[in-house]
Amino acid sequence: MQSELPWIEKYRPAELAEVAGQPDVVRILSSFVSQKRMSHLIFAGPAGVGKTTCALILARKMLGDDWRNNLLELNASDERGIDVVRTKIKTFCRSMVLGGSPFRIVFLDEVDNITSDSQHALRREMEQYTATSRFILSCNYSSKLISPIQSRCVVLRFTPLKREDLVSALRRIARAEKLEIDDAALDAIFYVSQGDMRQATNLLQAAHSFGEKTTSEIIYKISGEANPGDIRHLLGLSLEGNFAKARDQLRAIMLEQGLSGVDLVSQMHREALHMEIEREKLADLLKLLAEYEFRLVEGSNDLLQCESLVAQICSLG
Amino acid sequence: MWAEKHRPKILSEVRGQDEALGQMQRWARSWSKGTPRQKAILLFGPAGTGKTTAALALGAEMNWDVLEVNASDKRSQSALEELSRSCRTRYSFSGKALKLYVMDEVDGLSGTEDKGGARALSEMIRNTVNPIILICNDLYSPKLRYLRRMAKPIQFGKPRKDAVAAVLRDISRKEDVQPDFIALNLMAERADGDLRSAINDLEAVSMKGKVSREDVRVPEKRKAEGNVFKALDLIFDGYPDSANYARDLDLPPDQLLEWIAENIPLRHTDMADRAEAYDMASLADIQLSRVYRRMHWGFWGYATDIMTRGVGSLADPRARRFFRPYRYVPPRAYAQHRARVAALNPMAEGKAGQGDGEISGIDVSRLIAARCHMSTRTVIADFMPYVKIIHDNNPGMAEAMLRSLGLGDREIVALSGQLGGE
Repeated sequence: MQSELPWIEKYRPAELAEVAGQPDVVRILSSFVSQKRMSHLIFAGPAGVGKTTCALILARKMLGDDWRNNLLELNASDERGIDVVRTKIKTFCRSMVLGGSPFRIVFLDEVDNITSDSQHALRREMEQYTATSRFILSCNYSSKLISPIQSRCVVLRFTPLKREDLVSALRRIARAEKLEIDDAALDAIFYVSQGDMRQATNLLQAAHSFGEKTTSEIIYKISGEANPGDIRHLLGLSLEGNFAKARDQLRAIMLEQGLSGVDLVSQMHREALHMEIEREKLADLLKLLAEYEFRLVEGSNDLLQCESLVAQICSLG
Repeated sequence: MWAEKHRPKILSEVRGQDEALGQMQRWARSWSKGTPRQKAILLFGPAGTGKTTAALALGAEMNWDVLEVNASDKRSQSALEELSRSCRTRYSFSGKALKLYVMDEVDGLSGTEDKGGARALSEMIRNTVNPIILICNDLYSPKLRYLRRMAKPIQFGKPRKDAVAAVLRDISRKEDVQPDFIALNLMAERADGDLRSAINDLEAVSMKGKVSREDVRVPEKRKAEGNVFKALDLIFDGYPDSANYARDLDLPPDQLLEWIAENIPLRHTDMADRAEAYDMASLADIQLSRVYRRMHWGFWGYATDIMTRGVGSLADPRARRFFRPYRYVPPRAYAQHRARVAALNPMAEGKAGQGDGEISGIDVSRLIAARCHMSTRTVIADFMPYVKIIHDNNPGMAEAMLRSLGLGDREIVALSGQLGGE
């Protein structure tokens, strides 16, 4: 029987070579593996681009058969207090390396969420236990870590997946699951996920629950985003000053596709940057979008706020 | 009851719904060649527009057995089970080819009494070999979240005034009432597309065998709207008095604001003025929401002043001479919009909330977090919404997935209670 695991687990790469879209990182990690040596590492990058996956692969490759016993995986969002650093991590690092592993690995995920007190406690432990332990710290921004920690680590930057990398990874999953998906739907997943492989995989699986064929409509529907073409059309009409048509388009998007005001404006922001707009006008447009995203958060009537936004864009001239 | 007595028996007698009837007939004919892909349709529209009548008439016209279930019947999961079994076979006592299941008032499924009813209905549609018609008023009711995807929606709009008046004339003739045509027209207008209520009105006023226009009083609901139109005139013409008038209206400020915003484009064709007026409306909305957010009632006054005198500051004195159009704002328009957004966009509300039971969504999320190398927060924000979508479409698939993650019966029951949340 086929495994029923969530696809993000089922298709989590088990080999560095399978990690999509991070060639530079993979090259460095592969050299660590082949030399059976590694330094403390910081994996920096946005969500869903392979940080945890690479850490798990690295642990397996480095530590061999006893990897489970020699890996401490902590998620700093859940366990962020200084006592965790002082007790759990310390106890783990102090105890003996088990089996045939060369050292132990502490993998601290979402480490930018631990307090700076804890970071300072961590810094000492990273030095004290270098003989027995390596640290892999993953975070969105390495700059959020205190500089003493940064200086003790090799920083590897993970980037959002490019279209071709994301799409070919999704195609592999689709083939394995025998599901039908067209280019438009793959484009939609890339557009919505913006290179986040975890979100892309979740989208694909959720879309699959709708039935045989995965289409771009389903993707936009479940992701709560509008079709980018519709958003551009709305912006185009507004910039031309065609208020009546722009308002119809706005209502079609908000009422029929069920988009919230904030989602709509942030998507307008994303699309505006890819459109041909004179730079002065673009600057004014961006100011308006920022102001109205703020008003939407502050106000309560999404439709009214968005209509006002469209009226303002129409009169930009 | 004239409304019952004169209920059309055949489809062609249903008035003012040609488009909908055409769609229904095409769907009915698709059953002649075996079970079609579209096994159910969902008739929606305001009360008294002929949805139930059309459904029953269609069944009669196709010579199908008609089984009607409405809100007076218990429609819980277990109550629907028997129907669900019977719709899987074509066997019928009367020897007719097919059975038509008319499920009326599906948006009135009770959350407690009819627990699981919506899901049972969607199961029914999945398995049926007989035609099913669902009927509701509000297509965007959150209760129809599953059903909306499985049944083709067909809209029953409000029939026009002359169509309603024509029906009233017919009935008057049949009942031997001397109709005053102006009275019938007034009645038709006042019914606002609700044909049934128009017939009820007619029956009530014709007890004495004659209908005159004095019998048709101006209904209460029209009055409030009249005042809104007056308020809009004062506002858009820039009268300082508009703020006071607005305060005395029997209309909450957020609804008045809807009316104002809806009418800005009609009153201001100049782009700059229109933008300014909208800007005022937008600021008024912010003031209104600050009232609740900060619990400071002082903002309320600013909100009203900005939406009246602020918007009015753009008034063009020359425009006063012209005829002023209005755009009608349906009541609850915005509330419906909100419900729609919530219903269509599972991500917007897809967070697994904390349950009251022994096991909360957080507990389950924590288990999943450990298994899938994510933080609890990431599971709740980035994974659960997808589990919910899968669960909505295919509960079995979702359950298998959760079991593969090592969740047991207790956790799955706790979670599906939260994910189901009808």
